[in-house]
Amino acid sequence: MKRIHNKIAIFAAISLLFLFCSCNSAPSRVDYIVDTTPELFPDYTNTTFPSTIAPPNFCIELVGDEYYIAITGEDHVYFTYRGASAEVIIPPSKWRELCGDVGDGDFWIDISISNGGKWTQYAPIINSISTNKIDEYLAYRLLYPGYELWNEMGIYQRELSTYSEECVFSNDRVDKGCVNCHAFSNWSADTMMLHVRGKHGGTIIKQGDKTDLVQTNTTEFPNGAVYPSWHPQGRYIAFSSNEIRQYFHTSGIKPVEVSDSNSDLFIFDTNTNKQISSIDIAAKNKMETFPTWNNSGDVLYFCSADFKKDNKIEEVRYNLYSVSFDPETALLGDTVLVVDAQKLQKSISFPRVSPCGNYIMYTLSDYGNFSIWHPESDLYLLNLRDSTTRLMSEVNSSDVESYHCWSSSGDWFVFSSKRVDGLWAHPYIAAFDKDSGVASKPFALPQDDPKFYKEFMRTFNIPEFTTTKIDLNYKN
Amino acid sequence: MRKTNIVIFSLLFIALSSIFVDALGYTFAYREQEHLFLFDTQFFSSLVASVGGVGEYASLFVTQFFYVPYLGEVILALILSFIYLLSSAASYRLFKAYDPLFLALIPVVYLLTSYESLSFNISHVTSFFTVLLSIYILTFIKNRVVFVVVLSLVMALYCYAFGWIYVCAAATVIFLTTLSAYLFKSVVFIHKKWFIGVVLLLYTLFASVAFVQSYNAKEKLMALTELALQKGDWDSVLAYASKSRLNSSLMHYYQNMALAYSGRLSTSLFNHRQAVGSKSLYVTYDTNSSQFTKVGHYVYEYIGHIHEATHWANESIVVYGESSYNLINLIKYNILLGKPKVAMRYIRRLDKSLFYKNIALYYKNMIDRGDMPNIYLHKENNSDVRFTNTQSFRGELDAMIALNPLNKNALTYKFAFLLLEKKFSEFVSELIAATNSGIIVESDITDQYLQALLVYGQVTGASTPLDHLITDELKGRYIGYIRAKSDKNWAELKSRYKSSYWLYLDYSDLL
Repeated sequence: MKRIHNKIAIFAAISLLFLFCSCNSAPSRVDYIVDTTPELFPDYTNTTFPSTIAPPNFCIELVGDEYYIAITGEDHVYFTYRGASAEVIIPPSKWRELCGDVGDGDFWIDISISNGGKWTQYAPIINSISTNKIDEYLAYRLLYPGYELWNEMGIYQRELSTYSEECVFSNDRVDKGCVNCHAFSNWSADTMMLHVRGKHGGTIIKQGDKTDLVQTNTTEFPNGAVYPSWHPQGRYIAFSSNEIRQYFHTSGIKPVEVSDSNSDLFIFDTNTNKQISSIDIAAKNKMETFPTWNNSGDVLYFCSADFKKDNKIEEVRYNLYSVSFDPETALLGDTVLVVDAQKLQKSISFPRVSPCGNYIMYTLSDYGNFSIWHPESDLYLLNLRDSTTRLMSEVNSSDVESYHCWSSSGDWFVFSSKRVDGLWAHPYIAAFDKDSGVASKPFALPQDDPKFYKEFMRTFNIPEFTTTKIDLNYKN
Repeated sequence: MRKTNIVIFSLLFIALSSIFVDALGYTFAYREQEHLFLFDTQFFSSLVASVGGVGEYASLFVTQFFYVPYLGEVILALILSFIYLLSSAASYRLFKAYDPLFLALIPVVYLLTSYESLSFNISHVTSFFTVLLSIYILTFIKNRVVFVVVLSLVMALYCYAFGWIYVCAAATVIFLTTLSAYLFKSVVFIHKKWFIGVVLLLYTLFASVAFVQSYNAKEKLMALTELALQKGDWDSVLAYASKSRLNSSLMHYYQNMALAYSGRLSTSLFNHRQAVGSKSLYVTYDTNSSQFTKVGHYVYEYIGHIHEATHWANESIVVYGESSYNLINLIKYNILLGKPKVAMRYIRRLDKSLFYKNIALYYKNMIDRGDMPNIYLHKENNSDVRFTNTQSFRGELDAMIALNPLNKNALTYKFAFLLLEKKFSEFVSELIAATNSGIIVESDITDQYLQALLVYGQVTGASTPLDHLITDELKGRYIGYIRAKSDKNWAELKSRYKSSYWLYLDYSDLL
């Protein structure tokens, strides 16, 4: 009796193995071969992934009865899938194996699609793996893409090597107040800040184990702190103080305009809770905003536009300026015009200096500073070595590209793009060659569900890399 | 006693079903419109991630059936009836005694009266029911130690999944039911049937009083009006609005929306109460009344200001969530604005519901057409940047007319606005201009417009090219009106001139 049981078990195991193998086996014959690659969603074609990223699951955007996919390296097949679903879920273990083996090299996605019993084999999709280090976490704000009102929002943190996402700070904790502008010093979550608006408002500043709620609105800066940039040494935070207004377009493609009726900059000393400013960064005839430090912390870059009482929103354009800063004495020097965008009838927002110090990436739009609502806004790169600036056509799309952040190594950067449908912003990551100043084709942050970016109803705001996990430890 | 419980359960079910079908019927449609249940993993995970999220998920699951008349009412009546039965049965299974006071009826009465308010969250019912059902199922575990361990674990889990309050409430109800059963166990009832009858009668009286006291007729009227508006049942909207004697600008807004959408704004504006003037023609954003957020899009959709209608619909979805109503509005507007991918995201959302798949399919097919039946959008490209002034509705009307002078809806609305603002001189000059340019023809000039024209002539002494339209009969009526006014004959004014512009002009404060 026992023998019979054993035989049944062996037979069942072999049958299952056979079934498993046949499920994932390649089509026995190919009827057509085409030299184009099928469209994937998200577009994971001809791009470069960091070796530590989570598996980039995708959907094949072609209709078929059956799909066969093989993900291969130079001489090894890492993963095959055959089935009726166009969704391809790569097992993390197989992906890790691939990333480990490929190193700084290419891998291929071979796709065949069956329609009416006829198999079509498409040209292989080529992607690359880079062992250049990317930071472990990405922090962002998630909220419904509303106009004026909000309900639920929060700052979230995603572990890039997995799909794990944690809520760092939800506005449930502050009676649905607005939480925004999370910023980190040197990509470290140990020194960070975020604003809370409303009844429980203030700026939460965390430095090591100490977390405080600080009020930054003074008579000199009644609008308080808005857009931040941490000084690399962790003592100062440069803030803009903006009087923000919202407007709604009557016609055209843009729905909303967010504009400043006035703005200035100040530097907040976290040791003394004092504000430092000067005419150079808080001029009465200028609107200064979007401060950002260079890596040594001795130059502050910022955007500035002319202030006129009867400013027409569509005529407000921001140039890029810099001002020297002495961290020892906290004294500011003279301002220098870095990029004259007004001359080109354009406007700059979100300048960010690369960790190598050789580049500034910024967003350029037709006017104003809130480029996330401007479909024409694109990423530009200023080479500080030769003062040339160029449109980053390798990463831009026909829709919005806006907020961006360098990784701590400078080998990667993340940016917000609305390329999927024009309303929801999603984080895209691109590899960056520090020598040539050229980026790879960007890829959407991988998600467990391949349809995620078509169905997720919240928009990603302010993607920021961090090297450590955020533990805000703030009890209001 | 077991039979008694079954009988009470059956009676309870019949009574609750009757109440839900009749007096509270509107609440089901209203609640269904407020929420949308989606068969989607993201939807599930976003809800269950928080404390009480499973309860919320369960309540939304139940609420989706409110879409079908009677089905939702029967389901909720069953759930409430089962709350009674499960409490009694669990108590009996644990302690082998029945409660002669039927204390398990108290939470049912409480939940029923609470349900009357539209702000009541159904999850209170579903969560309480689920906890009771679980306790009842667990009572089948015969080993007491295993029962206590499993019950403790399940209840600890439920504290997170549904909220501790439901676990405590269920435990309290079962405890009190058992205590009552224990205390009365040795009592021998001589007239048991009479005793039960009297107890049940007392419950019925108590429930009736509590029900009547919690009944909110104003809320009901408002909800019915809103539902009728959403369905496009304009006559019902007008009927409900006429029932309301409140000077509520929201109710007046609903009324005027019904007039506009049914094409009666130019003919019947003054056939209805206009107690709040031009403010009843639009809504302004008001943080104290988020109800306005939900309905602000109507007027902008009517006048073809689709950008602003989208603005309001977006605010509504942020405040009220992804209800079918909000999603459908955003689908329509984004199709019109040439944003098919945005519309598709909302369509995909709708497609994940149980009862809106056909509507999702309908709009999916509309995407390629790029227009919407009965919604007007001026699509001519205009490179000028113009921003909506949410504080000046008049400015928006002017902008819509300037964008397209043939926008008749905007023009009709502007006429209504000027009449309600009592700016008859401006009205007359606009009317003449519109007639001269052929946008409206003389046959479009209604009696209420002629009344304003007549007043203009009388007050200013000026003649207009449209004076020939004023009939002798109208002149005679005006003379009669002036006589009644000088005689302060309020009865005649109210009876003969109730629907006239003249009465509104002179006595709008008293309307």
